[in-house]
Amino acid sequence: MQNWLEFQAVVMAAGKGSRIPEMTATKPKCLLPVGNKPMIYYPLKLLENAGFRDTKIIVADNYASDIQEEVDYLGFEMNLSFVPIPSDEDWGTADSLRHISDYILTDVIVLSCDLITNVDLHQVLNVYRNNNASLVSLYFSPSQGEQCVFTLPGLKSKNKFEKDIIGYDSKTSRLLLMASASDYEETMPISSSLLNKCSNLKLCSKLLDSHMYIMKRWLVNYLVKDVNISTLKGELLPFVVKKQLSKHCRNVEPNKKGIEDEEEEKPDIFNISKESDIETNIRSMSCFGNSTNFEEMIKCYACVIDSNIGIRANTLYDYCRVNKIIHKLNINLGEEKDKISPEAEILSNQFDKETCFVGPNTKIMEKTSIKSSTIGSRCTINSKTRITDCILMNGVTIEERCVLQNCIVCHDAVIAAGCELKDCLISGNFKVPSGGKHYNEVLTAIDRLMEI
Amino acid sequence: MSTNKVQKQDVLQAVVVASFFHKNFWPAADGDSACLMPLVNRPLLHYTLDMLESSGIVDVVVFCSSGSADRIRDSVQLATGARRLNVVYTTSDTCRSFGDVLRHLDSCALIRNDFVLLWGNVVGRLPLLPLVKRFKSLRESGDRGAVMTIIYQRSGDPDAASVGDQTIVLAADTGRVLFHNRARGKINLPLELVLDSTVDIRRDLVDTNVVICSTAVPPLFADNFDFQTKDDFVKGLLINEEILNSTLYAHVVDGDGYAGEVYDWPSYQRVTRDVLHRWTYPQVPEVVDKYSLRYGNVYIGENLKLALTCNLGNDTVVGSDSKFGSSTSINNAIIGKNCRIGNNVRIENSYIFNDVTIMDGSVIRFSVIGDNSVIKENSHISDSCILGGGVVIEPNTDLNQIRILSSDSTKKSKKLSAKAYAYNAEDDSDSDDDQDVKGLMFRKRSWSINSCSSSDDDTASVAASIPDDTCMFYSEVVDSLIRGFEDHVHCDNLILEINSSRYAYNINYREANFQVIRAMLTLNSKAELEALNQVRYYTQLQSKLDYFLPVLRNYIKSMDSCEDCLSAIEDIAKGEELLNTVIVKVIHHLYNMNILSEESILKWHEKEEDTQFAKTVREKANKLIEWLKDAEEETDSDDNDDSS
Repeated sequence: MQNWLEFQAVVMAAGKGSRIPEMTATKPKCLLPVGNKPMIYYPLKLLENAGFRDTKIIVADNYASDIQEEVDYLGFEMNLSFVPIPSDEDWGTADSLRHISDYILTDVIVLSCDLITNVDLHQVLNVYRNNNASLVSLYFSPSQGEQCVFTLPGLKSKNKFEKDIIGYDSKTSRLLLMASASDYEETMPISSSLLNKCSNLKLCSKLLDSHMYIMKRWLVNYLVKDVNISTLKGELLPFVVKKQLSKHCRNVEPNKKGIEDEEEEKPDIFNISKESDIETNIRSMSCFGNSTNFEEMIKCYACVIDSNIGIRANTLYDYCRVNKIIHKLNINLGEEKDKISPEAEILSNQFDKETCFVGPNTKIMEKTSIKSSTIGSRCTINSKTRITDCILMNGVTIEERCVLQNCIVCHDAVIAAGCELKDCLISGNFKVPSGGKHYNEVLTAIDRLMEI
Repeated sequence: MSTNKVQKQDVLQAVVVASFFHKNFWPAADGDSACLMPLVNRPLLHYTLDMLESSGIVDVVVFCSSGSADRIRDSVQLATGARRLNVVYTTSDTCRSFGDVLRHLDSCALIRNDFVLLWGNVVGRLPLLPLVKRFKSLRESGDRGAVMTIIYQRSGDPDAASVGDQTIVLAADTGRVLFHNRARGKINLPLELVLDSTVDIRRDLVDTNVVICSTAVPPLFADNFDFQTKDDFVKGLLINEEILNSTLYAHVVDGDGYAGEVYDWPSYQRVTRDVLHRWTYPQVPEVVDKYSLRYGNVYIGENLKLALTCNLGNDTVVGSDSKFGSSTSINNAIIGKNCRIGNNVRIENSYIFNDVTIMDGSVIRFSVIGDNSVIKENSHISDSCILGGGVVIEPNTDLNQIRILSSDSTKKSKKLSAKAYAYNAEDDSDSDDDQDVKGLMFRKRSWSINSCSSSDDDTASVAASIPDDTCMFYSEVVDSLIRGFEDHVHCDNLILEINSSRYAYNINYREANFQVIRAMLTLNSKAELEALNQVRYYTQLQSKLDYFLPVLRNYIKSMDSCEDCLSAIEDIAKGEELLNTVIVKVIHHLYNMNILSEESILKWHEKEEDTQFAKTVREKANKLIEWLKDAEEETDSDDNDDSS
């Protein structure tokens, strides 16, 4: 009996990381290290800081045990329950939510495992509460001034942004339009019903969608009814946002349903979004409040936050960026001893403690120089090696006389002696032969690349 | 003197266009001197000059047509605010539009510096100097191509009819105008605008007709002869931004001032209300003229003769030297100076200019009475009547929605009496303005929400609550049908026409069915309807329906379309008393013409409806239904016979 809860939290951690296949071929996206923690640590910490006691984590079943193991190691105080979903069936976020709909009894807050932010969750929840919203979506406005310029490891490719266009009321920040720039050719039609609804519409293409949604319980009911919707962002949200504009004629409803069977298949969202009796009662007795909102069942709001840091580490660019600035963020990263694990053995004298993270059981030999790098656990770095601006995941072995600059080395890779790597991405379990010199390359086993 | 010379370059100029080039206020005021028309018993132009004076502007160039120059000059002499202004007049006879005025200014070389450009119909208070400063610094530091800052007023009332007649897209950070669309309805926004920056799409802005221009504006008009209005200018600049290398900015007045533009009767009503409600302070009656303010925004002039039983309601202004008889009541009205109002007169929501005589027992509602008019006993003047100057209305006359002149200058007017000629808008083919001249808004506000309702325009007010595209489609269908009926256009061509409008406004099938039927049932104008009685109405309607039979056949084919047809009939009957009385006959007739199937009628009848109206309609139809059911049984039995 958890009915007294206001929200239930769900973290979506079954994403395959299809935008960064080099790194996620053998490891789930949510376990990629950011700083010295796996990525999933950050959304969970966000929830815990906001006072959540229970959280459901959706994971792909082939990585379920890995993830559980690592998350347990992080030592959260709240109850975490893992829900595995079949990894071979390409489920979307909405499918996942439908899968656990029986466990969802209250309004629900959905987070993505790659959300890294220091935003105060209560700020977003208050937007939801104040407006009695059906759905609230969190957006970050792009950081001004401080633009991070760096070269991406791996092949030089254009950094393509998928541009979403968000339209919301400047005054009430009601979310009224969601579209993708690729939906349009040259012009973007804006319907008159939208313009009538909102006389001061702000259209933004530069906002970053955090993929964090707070929604009413009835939306989950709707998901259960409409099995065609498979993703939250791609399908459910645009649909619900659009439905705000359409009128709902209640009188016709019962008649239609009886006659046309087709109507049954496509459930009417308005039927599901009925107010509860108590809410109707409250409204009828209240002298407060505006009568204009009376008929509106669906109300989506955007919560646009600009001062805080918000990043979604779902592309290589963002992943690198967050790793470069993570030590500047004031996200609670724990004690100083966490930053450089006491179980690590550091013999180097040219080791920059301020800008580096080192995981446990890592061995760094003498005569090495390490700067602004993140080094996972169980790594071995041999002497006469220079490492700058790199990310080394767990179990990486770097032999003597290597020079690594701006590289991402995935787990259990081996870099043999005398290598010189700049702006490279080395995928998991790969062994770089000795003496190799590589610039701007993705180093991966050929057969695996074929697989992708 | 010496300081004056030094700062000659820095003196801020304002250009007031005191010639309107429209006949919106005719016949109460003609186009040339409409800026002298009284608003709350004070010429419009005085408000404008006062506003300029109070915002620190000294040099004013007034443009007027040469015919009215003397009158305007005389009037400006009297304006209190004009005393401190250095007014220069410039006249021209060849100017036919706003664009011509700017071309004229360019050729006169009167402009030395950035200037404020406004019409002589702006009422309000605006701190203009800071805005000009901001405009200057913008040109110096940011955008050298900035030529104009357009000042908009944020409308306080989102439902007001004036709102939504234009859509403006502004860059959120700079306030630059990126896109401008005059029409209601949907807009097609170039995608690159959205991707380049965050934009605000605003529909809550009202033109104030005050702009701040750089010296580049008159030459731009001179170079582009097709710029006739400010809208042309804005449009041309936005389209040819690269070529002309000029950009526009917008400033939204919100709380730091008030500016209202009086360009037609609805805006006249709105601004009058705002003046009485003191938004324009210090430009309120008791400050600028000799009035005393009483509770409820009642402004009373000097030297009045009010009968004891005379009742003055809220929001009323009574000009000095007027005389009111007993039992006269005045509500929401402006009475000019030196008026004679008799006994038992009722004046509501009306504007009475100076020296008007209204005799006993008359009722005046939602009307404008021009100078020196005489309304004789027991006349009823209501619903957006506009009376010109010097009209004499004979006793016991009923007038509504009509424009009356004192003399028949065009020989087209209908003579009502020696000094009253009714102007017939439909006959006036040579009136070049293609847009409708709006009358006063005389319907209740709550009724006209969401509509673009100009009160004269029946189609718009019927279509009050339907979306714009549909509304446009509907009015086009009405136009097509009326023309088709009058000119005996072949129905196939009409279908073609309707279909093309259907595609133009992207109306789906069922909506189209619905609107076509609605249009067909509302072909009679309001005035015609009132002349008809029930029987004649029905015969007329029937003949029309018969004429449009092929059109009906084309649209009403399936069960669904029958349903649309019936709901359209019901919808119109709800608002139209005459149709309501014959609704069953109409349905029956359509059934006889094999347009409506009996199943659809039965289905419609069985449908449960909540509203009282729908129930009574269905009750009315009971007889028809019974008859239909009988007929059905008969045919059923016939069928059975056949099969056996």
